[in-house]
Amino acid sequence: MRPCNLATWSRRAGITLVEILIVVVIAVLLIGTLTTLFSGFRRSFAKGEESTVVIQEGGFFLAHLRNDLINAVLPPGFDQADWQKAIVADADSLSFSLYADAQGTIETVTYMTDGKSLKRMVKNGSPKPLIEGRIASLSWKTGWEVIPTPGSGTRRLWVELSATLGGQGKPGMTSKQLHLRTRLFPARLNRQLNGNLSP
Amino acid sequence: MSLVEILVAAGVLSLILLPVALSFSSGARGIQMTHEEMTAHQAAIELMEQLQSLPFALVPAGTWVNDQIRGGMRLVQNSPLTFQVTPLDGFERGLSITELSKDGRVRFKKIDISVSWKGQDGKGPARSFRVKGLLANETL
Amino acid sequence: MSKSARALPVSGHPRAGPAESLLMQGSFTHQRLSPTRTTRGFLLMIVLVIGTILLLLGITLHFAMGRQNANLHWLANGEIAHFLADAGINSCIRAVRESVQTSGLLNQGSSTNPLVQILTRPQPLDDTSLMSYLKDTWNAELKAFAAEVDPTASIRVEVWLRDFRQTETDPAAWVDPVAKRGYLSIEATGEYRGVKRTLTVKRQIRVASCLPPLVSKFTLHVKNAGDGGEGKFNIIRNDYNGNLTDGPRPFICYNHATPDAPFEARPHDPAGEADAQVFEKRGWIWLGNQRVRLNLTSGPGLFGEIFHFYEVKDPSRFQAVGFVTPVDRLPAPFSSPQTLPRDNFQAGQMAEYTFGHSFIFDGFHDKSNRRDTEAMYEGSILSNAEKSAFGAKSSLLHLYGEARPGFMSRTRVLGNVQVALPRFASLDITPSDSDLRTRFSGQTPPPTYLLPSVPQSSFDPNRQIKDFLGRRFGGPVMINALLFGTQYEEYKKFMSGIIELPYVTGYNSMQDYHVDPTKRQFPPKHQILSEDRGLSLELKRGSDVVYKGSVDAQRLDDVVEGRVQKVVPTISEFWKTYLDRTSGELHLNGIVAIENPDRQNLILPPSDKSSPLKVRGGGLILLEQGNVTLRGVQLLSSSEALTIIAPEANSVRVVNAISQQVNVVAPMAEFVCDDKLDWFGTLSVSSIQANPRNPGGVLRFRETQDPTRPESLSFAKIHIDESDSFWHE
Repeated sequence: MRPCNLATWSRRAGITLVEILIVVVIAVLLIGTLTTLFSGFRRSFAKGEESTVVIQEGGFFLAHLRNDLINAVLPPGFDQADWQKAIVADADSLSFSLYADAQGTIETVTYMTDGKSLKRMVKNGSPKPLIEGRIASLSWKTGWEVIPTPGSGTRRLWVELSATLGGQGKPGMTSKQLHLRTRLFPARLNRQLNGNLSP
Repeated sequence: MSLVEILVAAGVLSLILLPVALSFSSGARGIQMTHEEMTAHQAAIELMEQLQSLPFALVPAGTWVNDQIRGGMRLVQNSPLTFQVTPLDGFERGLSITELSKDGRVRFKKIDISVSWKGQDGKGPARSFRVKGLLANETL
Repeated sequence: MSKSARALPVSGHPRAGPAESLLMQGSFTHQRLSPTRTTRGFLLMIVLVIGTILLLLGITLHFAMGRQNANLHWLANGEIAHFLADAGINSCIRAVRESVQTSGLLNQGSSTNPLVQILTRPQPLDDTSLMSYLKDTWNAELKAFAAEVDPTASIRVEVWLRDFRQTETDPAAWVDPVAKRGYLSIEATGEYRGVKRTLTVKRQIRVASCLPPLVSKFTLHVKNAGDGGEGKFNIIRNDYNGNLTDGPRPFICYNHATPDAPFEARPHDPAGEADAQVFEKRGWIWLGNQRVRLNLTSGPGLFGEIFHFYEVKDPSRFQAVGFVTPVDRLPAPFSSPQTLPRDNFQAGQMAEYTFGHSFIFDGFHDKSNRRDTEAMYEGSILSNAEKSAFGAKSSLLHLYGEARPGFMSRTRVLGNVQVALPRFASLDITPSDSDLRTRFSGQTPPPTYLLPSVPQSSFDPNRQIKDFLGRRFGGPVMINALLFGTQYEEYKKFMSGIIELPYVTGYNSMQDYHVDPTKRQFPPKHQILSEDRGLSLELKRGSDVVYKGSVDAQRLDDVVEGRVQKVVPTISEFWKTYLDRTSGELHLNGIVAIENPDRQNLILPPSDKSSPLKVRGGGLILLEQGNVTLRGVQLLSSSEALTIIAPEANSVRVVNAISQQVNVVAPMAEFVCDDKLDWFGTLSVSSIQANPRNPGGVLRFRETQDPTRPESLSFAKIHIDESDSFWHE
C-alpha cells in the first residue's frame, strides 16, 4: 500500500459531468450493440440448428424409405396382373410389403402423414415418428411403365416423391427450407415383377 | 468506469465478434451447401437406381451429357428405354456406362454418374458429386 | 499524523488532523465500498462473457454443419456400398450355386462329402461358414472389378449356413435328429470409403428323410386287416407237407435280411436266432382293426409254417414235437397206475397201466397222400363243429417266414391277431407188465389213444377210448369217465381240438426251440412276447425315443407334409422333371408332392417305359390323390430308398413279378397282386385282397430302414430352393 500523500492527492483532477455523460453514452451504445448482436446471433443459431434438424430428418426419411424399398417384395398370393399396386400411394399414406427381418418375415410397411409430420409403421406396430412438425408440403405417387421389349415387355415401378421440409416457427427464426424431389426405384421388386430375380 | 475501459471493452468485443461472425456465416453457407449436396446425391442415386432395376441386357453402354438426360428421353436411338429423372434447375447430370468383360463375356457394366452445380448465388467454383456402381450380369 | 493513520491510504479530505485522520480512516473504509471503484472492469467482464457465449455458439454451429455434411456423405457412400453389394450378389449367385454343386453338396449319394455330412448330422446345426468347403472363384474377381469403381471400393461375398432348426422333435409325431430346415445365406458386403453395407440373400435348405415315419419299422402294416371277416385270409388248400395243391399262393414275410435279399443280404446266423429279443431288430407286423385269425399252415415244406411247433432239421425233414402235460395238471386218475381190463376182454384179464397225456400241434391241411380232401379231419379226431367253423384251408399270410435256416423270421406281431392250429391230444399209456410193453412197442404205428374233439352235446362219459386204428394188442379197456369224470368241462381241457392262440405264441415257442430243442414245453417256457394291440408303442434308437404313440401312425400325414421340398401339379409334370429320358432312370433326390387334381394313376415306371423303373436318386413321393400301380422298381444303390405315400389311394396294385424295391404307404388302399410278389421294403395299406387266384410271393424287410438303427439316418435328402427365399439388408 502506498503511503498517503495529501499533497499528491490534492493535485488530482475531478471527473466532470461531460466526461460522465460521454462515458454513459458510449457504454449505452456498446451495451446496446452487444445486446443486438447477441440476440441476432442467437436467432441465427436457432435457425441454423433448425435447418440442421430439417436436413437430418429429411436425410433419414429418405434413407429409411430407400432401405425399405431395397427389401420390398411382392406379398404371397399377389396377383401379378395388378402389378402397379405392389406399392400403394394415396394422399396420406404410402405402403408396400417387405422382408422385415433377417428371418424373412413379410410385413406391410406404411408411411403416414398428417401434412405436418411423418411416421413409419410396420404391420400393426406403434408408428415411429420420422419428421415431427416440419413438413411444409409432401406428396407421393407411384409411377410405372412397361418398356416394350420382346415378350410381354419389361415392367418398371417407382415412387415419385416431392417434399418441402422446414420453414416453420417464429418469424425470423424459421429454418431454411429443404426441397426433396426424387424418384426411388426398388430394384429387386422390379426384378421380381419381371420374373428374373437372380436364380 | 473509465473511457479507457470502454475503449478496451470495445476493442475486445470487435476481436471476439470477428471469428463469431465468420463462423456463423460459414454455418449458414454450410447449410446451403448441404441442401445442394443433398439434392445432388438424390439426383445421382435416382439415376443409378433406375438403371439397376433394369435387366442387364437392356442397359446400353455409352456416355450421356446433361441435355441427353431428361425425363422421357431415350437412352439410345431406337431403344425403348427412357430416362425417368426428376427435372432439376441448376444441376447438371453426366452418365457413363462401360462394359467390363472377362473371358470374352461381359460380366459387369460400370456406371459412372456425376452431378455438378454452382452455388445458389451462381458465383464461386462449380462443385460436383460422383456415384459409381456395378450392374451385374445375372444370367451368367 | 499518527503512524497508523499514515499507514492507511487516505483519499478525500485535505488537511485532516488526527481526529480527521480517524474520520478519514473511517471514511476510507466507506470509500472502499463506494460504487465508483467497484464498477471498474464490469463492462469488460460483460463483453467477455457475451463474447465467449457467441463464440461458442458460432463454433457449435460450424461443427454441427460439418458433421451434418459428413452424415450426408456417409449416407451417400452407404448407397454406393449398397450398389456394390447388390452387384456382388447378382454376379455371384450362379457361381456360388455351381460351386455348391461341384462341392458335392447336391450329390447326395456321397455320404463322405463334408457338406452332406454337416447337413445330415443328427444334431442341431449352428451357423457355419462354407467358404472352406467351396472353391471360391468369385471374391478375387469381385475385388478386381471393385477396384475399377474406386480404390476404396471392395466387394466380398461369403456363403454361410444359417438359422437352422430341427423340424422333427415331437415323439408323439416323429423324431428325426437329422431333419432340419435353415438357409444357405449368401452375404455380399460392399464397402466404399469406409462405409459398409451387407445384403443377404437366403435360400431355404430342407433336410428330411425319405423313409416313411414309423411304418419303416414294419414289414407289413395293415390298418384294417380284419375287414371282411376274421378268417378272410384262410383260403389256401395244401397237403400235410404244406405243399400247395391248387388255388392261391401265400405271402411270406421275411422280417430280416435273408441270404437272398437284393441288398444287405446276410447268411444265416443261428446264434442270432437264439437271442430272445431278436424281434427288436426285425421288421414288425401289424394287422389292425378287427380280430384276425390265421390258420397255421401244416408242414414246413416249401410253403409250410408249422415249424413254430415242430422240430425241423431241414425243410424236408421235420417231425412233430410231443408236448407232455405235467402230471400235476392232470386229473387224479393219472397220478397213479390203474388196473383195467385188457382189450382181449373176453379172457377177463386185467392189467395195470400208467396214464399220461400229451399232444402235438399241426397245421391246417385238406389233402394228404391218402385222402383227397380235408385230411386233417379224418378219424373224426376233430369235430364237425370245428370243421364248419374253421374249415381245412390255411392262411395266405405267413408272418414268420419259412422253415429254411436263415429264413425263419419270427418277430413281433401287433394287433388282435390269433393263430388257429389243431391240437391232437392223446393218452400216453404204459403197461406195467413187461409182456404188454413188448406188444405195445411192436406196434406200427405205435399205440395211439387219441382224445377226439367233441362238442358238449355229443359228450358221452361212457364212450370208450380206443387205439385210433382200433387194434387189439393188450391195451386197456377204458371210458372217458374213468380218467376225466363225468363232466364235459374236465374232458374238454384235454381233448383234441382246434385252438386259438395269440400269434406271438409261436415266437415264444420258437425261442424254446433255439435254446434247447430237446426240452420244449407248452406253454413255452420263455414268455417273451404277449398279445399286443399296438396302442402304446415306443420306438428308441439307442437311448433316444423316436416315437411314442399308437401303431396306426395318426400323424404320419403331418410329418410327411412338413418334409415336402417341392410341389408339382401333375404326374406328367413329375416325370418330365425327374425322369431322365435318355437313361430312363429316376433322379428324384428329394421329397416331392404331386397334387394330381385329376386323380390319375401313378404307374411306376410309366406305361410307355420298360420295367423296372431304375432309381438312381431315391426320395419320397407324396401322391396327394390317385392310386398306385407298380410295374417294377429297382434301386441302383443300397444307399437309396424310394417311398410312395398315397393318403387318398384306394388301390395299390402290383401287376408283374418284377422286384418292387420300394416303400408304399397307402392307409386307405387295398393291396392287390396280379402276379407273384417280390417286395423289398415296407408295405403299409388298409387291407390285402384275399384273391382266390392270389399269386403269393415274398415281402422282405429292409433292415437299414429300421428307424431303431443308426443306419436309417443316412436316407436324408437335402434340397436347396432354386430361387431366393428372401433378401434383407
